[in-house]
Amino acid sequence: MNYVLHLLILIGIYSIVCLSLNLLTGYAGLVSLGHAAFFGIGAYAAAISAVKIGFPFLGGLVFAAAAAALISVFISWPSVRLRGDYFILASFGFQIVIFYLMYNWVELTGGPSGLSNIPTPSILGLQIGSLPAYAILSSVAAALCLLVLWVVTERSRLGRAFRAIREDEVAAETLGIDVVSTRMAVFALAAALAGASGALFAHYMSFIDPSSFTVEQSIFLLSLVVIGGLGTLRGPFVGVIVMILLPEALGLLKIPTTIAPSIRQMIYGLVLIVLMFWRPQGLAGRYRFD
Amino acid sequence: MDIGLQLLLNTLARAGIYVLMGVGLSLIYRVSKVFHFAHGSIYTIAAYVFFAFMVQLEIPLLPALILALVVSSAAGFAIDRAIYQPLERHRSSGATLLIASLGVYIFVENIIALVYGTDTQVLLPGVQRTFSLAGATVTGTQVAEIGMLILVLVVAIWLRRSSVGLWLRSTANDRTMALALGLSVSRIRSIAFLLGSALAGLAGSIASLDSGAEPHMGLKALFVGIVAVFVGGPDIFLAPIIGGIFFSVLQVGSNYALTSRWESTVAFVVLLLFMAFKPEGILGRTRRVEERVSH
Repeated sequence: MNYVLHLLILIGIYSIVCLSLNLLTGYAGLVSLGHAAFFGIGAYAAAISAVKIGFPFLGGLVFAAAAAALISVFISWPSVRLRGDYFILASFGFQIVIFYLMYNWVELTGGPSGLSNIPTPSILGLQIGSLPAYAILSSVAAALCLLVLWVVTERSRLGRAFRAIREDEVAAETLGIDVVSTRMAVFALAAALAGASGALFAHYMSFIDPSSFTVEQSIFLLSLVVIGGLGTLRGPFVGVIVMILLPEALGLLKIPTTIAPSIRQMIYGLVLIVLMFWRPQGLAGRYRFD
Repeated sequence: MDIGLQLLLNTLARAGIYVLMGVGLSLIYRVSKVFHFAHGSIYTIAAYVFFAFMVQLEIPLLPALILALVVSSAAGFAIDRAIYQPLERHRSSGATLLIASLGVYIFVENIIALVYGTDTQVLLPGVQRTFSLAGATVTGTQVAEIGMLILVLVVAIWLRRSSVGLWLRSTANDRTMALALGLSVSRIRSIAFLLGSALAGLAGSIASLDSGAEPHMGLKALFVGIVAVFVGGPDIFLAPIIGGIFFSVLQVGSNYALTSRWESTVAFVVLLLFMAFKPEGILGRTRRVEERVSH
């Protein structure tokens, strides 16, 4: 039962990350190889604020989201006005640099040893210490995220703007849509959500280190979002479920744990290639990159 | 004086790898327009093939290197024929090709990890032989890297003036026009992939002499290659060389001035500055609206 709750919590946290990346890539058409970096920035921001400054949980959460959004501006401002390939390059470089900083800025981040003793969160005096409590927290958070994204993508001007840009940038501009600010806004929102889920992750794991926020993780997140489906709100959930179920399925096949991660990644790689041939919008997606 | 010469030699050695990756990727990217992320895997494949032939099968260095180059070339060619071209016939967009390329990268990286494990495989055991040159020290590998830099320069200058180079530049510049003028675009694309992948293979093999072979090694090399291509400018042959040298100057310079901790950050900030203020690159001159990088 505890294990099931643990999986549920992870599904909640990673759903938020995948929803945010889907917002960026599936709805706004910006392929990002740096999303794990924002997840990590949120995690470290929350951890540092809780451990070294003694911020309360909700404050740390807001700080994490705000830090991620603010930092996102540094990459989006130079790159969103250029061709898509430049954004990919900028996000890729960003990921490399952030990981490097996490690993080497030991006074701030603890370096490879990471940060431990991150306290259990408490909201309005209620301690969220037990697994069921945390499961409720992460589910509520995921639901809130879904709601926010639904409102943004289906019912807001910003949503119509970035979907228009995705379909035809030039036409969108002729309608008076400011491509650069719209993209920057979406990126900031996606970064903020990833940062917030990073905060949840940090408090749940009570220990974080740079290995959860590598380039490989970014690529992995992107593959989950692509496999699950681009441009729909269900897509990310499909991706996360694939992420959770595949290791379990491999476990049933009695594959030794030393090689299981590699086999898993190989399967993701193959699935990506096959999907691009057969169903580029992903399993539950609606947006093809045409 | 000592430090100056040492820094110069370090810069040239680093530039060797950067330029190899840059020119290789430039050939492929500019001619086929595919964001060939799997170029990083070619680098890694070469290192492991080199390791397999030289250390495991105990074949001498030069033949093992040539074999590694042949395998790299073939691998790059195969990826294009088996994956990119079929997808293009499906009328897939650039982003779809990139995702497929990512899939290839993930697959190759992990199959190598499966077969060889994630520990670094050492190609040259023990401490490497170093040479002294007027007070500065270089390892044998660095000498090879400087040699590679000179080789690439020579090849690039020759290519620029040869018909093959003209074919490559024409196809990169305007594929439809090249077809209309009777160029065999398919063959030119193959040349680009074969040559470009061989260069990546050369980079991976030489680099692995100093740092060993490790499944994730392709990523940093790929990044450097991409930066050299984008920052250098739109020219296929010379721009990545300028970009690569520029970046190695930056890296060695920031290492010296700021300690190696800030190396990646400095490089990245410079990249962002280029994007913000000179997106067409160091050598960039926009002659047509279609060539413009910004919207």
